[in-house]
Amino acid sequence: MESTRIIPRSALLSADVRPAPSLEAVNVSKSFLSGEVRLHVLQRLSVAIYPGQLTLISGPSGCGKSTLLSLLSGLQSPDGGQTFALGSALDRMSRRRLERFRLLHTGFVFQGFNLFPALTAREQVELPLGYLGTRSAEAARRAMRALDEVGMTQRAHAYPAQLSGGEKQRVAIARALAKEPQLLFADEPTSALDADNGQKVIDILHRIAVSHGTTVLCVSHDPRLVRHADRVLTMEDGVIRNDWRPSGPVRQPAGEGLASGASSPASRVLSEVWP
Amino acid sequence: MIALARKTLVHEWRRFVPAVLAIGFSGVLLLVQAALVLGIFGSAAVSVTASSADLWAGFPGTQSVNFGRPIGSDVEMRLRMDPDVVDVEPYLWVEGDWHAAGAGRGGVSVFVSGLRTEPGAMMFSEVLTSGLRERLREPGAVIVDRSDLDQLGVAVGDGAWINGQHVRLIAALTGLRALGGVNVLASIATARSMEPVERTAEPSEANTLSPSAMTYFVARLRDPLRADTVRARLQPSGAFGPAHVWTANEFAERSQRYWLLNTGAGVAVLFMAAIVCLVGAVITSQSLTAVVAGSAREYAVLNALGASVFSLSRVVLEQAWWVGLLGVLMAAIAGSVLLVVAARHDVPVAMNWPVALGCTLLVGGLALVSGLLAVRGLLRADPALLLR
Repeated sequence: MESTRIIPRSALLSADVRPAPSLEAVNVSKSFLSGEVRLHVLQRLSVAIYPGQLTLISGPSGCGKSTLLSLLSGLQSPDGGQTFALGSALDRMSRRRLERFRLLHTGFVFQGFNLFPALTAREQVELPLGYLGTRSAEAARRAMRALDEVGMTQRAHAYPAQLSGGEKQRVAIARALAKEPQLLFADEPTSALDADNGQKVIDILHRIAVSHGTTVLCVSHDPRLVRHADRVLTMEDGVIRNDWRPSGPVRQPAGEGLASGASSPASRVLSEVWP
Repeated sequence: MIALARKTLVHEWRRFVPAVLAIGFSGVLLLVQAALVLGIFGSAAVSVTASSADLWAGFPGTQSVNFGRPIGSDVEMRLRMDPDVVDVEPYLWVEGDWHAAGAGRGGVSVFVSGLRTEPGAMMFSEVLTSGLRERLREPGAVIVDRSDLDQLGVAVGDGAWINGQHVRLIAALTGLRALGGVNVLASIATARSMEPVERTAEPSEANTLSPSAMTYFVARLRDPLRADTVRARLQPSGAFGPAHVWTANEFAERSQRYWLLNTGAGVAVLFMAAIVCLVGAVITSQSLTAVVAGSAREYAVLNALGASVFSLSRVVLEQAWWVGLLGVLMAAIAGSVLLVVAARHDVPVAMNWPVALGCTLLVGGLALVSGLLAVRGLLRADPALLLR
């Protein structure tokens, strides 16, 4: 039975209260079998992510950043260690409970927009609300509000084939946003976009974090995104090499703590620093 | 709730066409096969179904109408004694060899039906007009089915020989086609003249049967709805002598069942139906699986956003339902057209509502099974695979 330490959003947003982490990985390990070779992607990594900010995990391909996102979002289970989201232990949930948790609390934006060709922009956004049991009129209202937030109201009746790449990604963000999730995960959201559209998308993600108090965890190797993030975790070879705030001073890890896989107490403390 | 299944079906209809065609063609095959079975095996009892008799008395244990053996004329008296029986008439069945005029033609096996020629007679009353029945009184006059003319090598008005007796074709009708041979209608006298001499010479029959022995006696009842009751009354455990009484429906079913089940034809038909269902299910499920696989990434996003695999399975099954419905409609239209065309070209086909409903249910089940198989495609829609 997982823990039920759900944190009220008001508490998370309060300026007087130092918020608890909304996402937490504790000594997580994950390996994959590639042919006959076992690849250890993450080894005893610990990290805490906080609400109300856009946290960017950057690093080269294969550094384990997407794997870390899949563990923190509950799409995959760690081989060892624990993952917590909003105080609930994800790794102890059944598949059905995980689906329910994701339905209630999480939104996803992927590199591929993955929109249904048969649905208009508004219907794409309405679709997940149906699974929440939202009534049609309310779903339509919330869908339009989400589309408004990403500046796509004018294109609400367009099909994916009639939308540009940037517009499709904004619809995908609205789809993730309509449920009003506390956790929003974005995997390479700007990789398929030009500079202008990439800028728009990252601005929207940042605004969501700040205005809604949402935990936005974004994985990308796009260097343009760094200056829009509140916090940047730089990964390499399955460990967090750097944890810093673009607007503040660069915080290099002292000693081998982070470099060895964030498994030491020092790295743990560093990743839990509230900016 | 957004009708994802229906909207996808309408928007991407081209991707569903193979599945609809697979279901549709399976339906057409099943329907036509069933119609042929009903048509061909239904003709096994054409003597019964084309006649207005309510009861049939024949040799005990007769499995099909064409296997009748002689019974004594006292059976007629016994039938007439029943207060519900208003008329009784004899029916003589003779197997013969047809030889048309002209050199080089081999014999054709024929079933000669010797009928009473008085107006209002029961045998073949569904196809014979009283005028034609009267013309059968002419010695040697015979009538056959129109579709058998080529096989017999004659035209109306031509002469031929059956078991060495000269006959003349006075008319060709529809609805006389038989299974296993050619039906030839004649008067009792004409048919009697064709009986092989050695049959009547068999000692066992010569002892018990008079030359007036018939193959069947058929009876008309005051109230046809009382056929079962009267048959039960006439059949008190063997007291009826060397004859057995069936209602017309019983005897028709008995004849058809014999041909369908005891000749191996039924097994062949069931085997073919199973093959049709199997092939249909494989093709349909493959087509639906391809459709699901084509949308795997979109389904994976919905699953990541919390839509359960169960909810997504319902979308796939709903699509299978629509595909099944469209396939059944297509089968109904195409099958009906084919059956009408077949019937116009004297192909023995028949259809009734229970069988049509059975085919529909079978095809609907096919679509459902295909949908369930296609749901497996959702297992490939793992949202973790969307992460780069």
